[in-house]
Amino acid sequence: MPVVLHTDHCAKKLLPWLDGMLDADEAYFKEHGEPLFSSHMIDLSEESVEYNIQTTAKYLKRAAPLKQWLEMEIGITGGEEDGVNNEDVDNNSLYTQPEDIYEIYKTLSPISPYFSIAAGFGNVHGVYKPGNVKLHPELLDKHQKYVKEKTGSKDDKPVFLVFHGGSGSSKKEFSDAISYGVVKVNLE
Amino acid sequence: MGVQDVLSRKSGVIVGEDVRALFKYAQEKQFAIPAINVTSSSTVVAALEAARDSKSPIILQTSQGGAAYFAGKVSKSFAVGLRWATNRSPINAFGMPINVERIGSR
Repeated sequence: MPVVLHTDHCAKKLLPWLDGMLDADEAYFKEHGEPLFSSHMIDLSEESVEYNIQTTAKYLKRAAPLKQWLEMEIGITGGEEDGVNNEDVDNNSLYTQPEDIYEIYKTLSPISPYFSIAAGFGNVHGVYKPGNVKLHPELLDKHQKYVKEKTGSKDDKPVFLVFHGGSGSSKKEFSDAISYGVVKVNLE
Repeated sequence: MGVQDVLSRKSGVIVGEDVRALFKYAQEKQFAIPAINVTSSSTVVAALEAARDSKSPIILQTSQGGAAYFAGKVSKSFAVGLRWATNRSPINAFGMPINVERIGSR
């Protein structure tokens, strides 16, 4: 069966790790015509939206000649993962806006089609779910419709979406999110 | 019938346009691919066995912490070992036809 080899969250302070992996990808590509990893994730969701998008674009430019996939994150996933604690983040930043998704799409598409977006829609890392955080998968539908409208695309789901922090979600929340274009679900 | 039809490489590590084709197929058929964190050869094998038994594509992922634990300082050797394990594992030699599993199906 097909397997995608991927690396998980790489925040700003871990960018040297990503740089090193891309060096290895490029060296492997020279010998084998393909990168070592199918895909990497860059997670600059803790930084400003501007920095996030511009820096992600720089990395996508590096991945593009290797036809390598890049997953990025916008908005915040609550809870704690890999040492980053967002347990007391206010609710608004947990829900990404369609305008931001379109900004990402508009910036990255000319560089390469090989990218996906982990967009916050109330997600929380870890198995618990605080009582006042609710998943709103229908926000993902808003993103797709907005991007489709702005780009004039014929595709109902122009954006490839990723679902982080899904543990404890209901079957309906999963199937709703998937119906709106989620293609990857991180099982934690 | 099945995801293999849209892929140029039917099994093992897929790259490039195959990754996009896999994701597009997933959107059209309304399923998502699980991404499992692997930190050692035993978790890699367990994940590949799960994929084989559910006849599903799978994403193997590693965090910086996980990769460092597995390979010591050199993430590159982890990646090469992981690629070898994925491509050469006896699980891939089974060559089963793909019926894709839906996550959270009704």
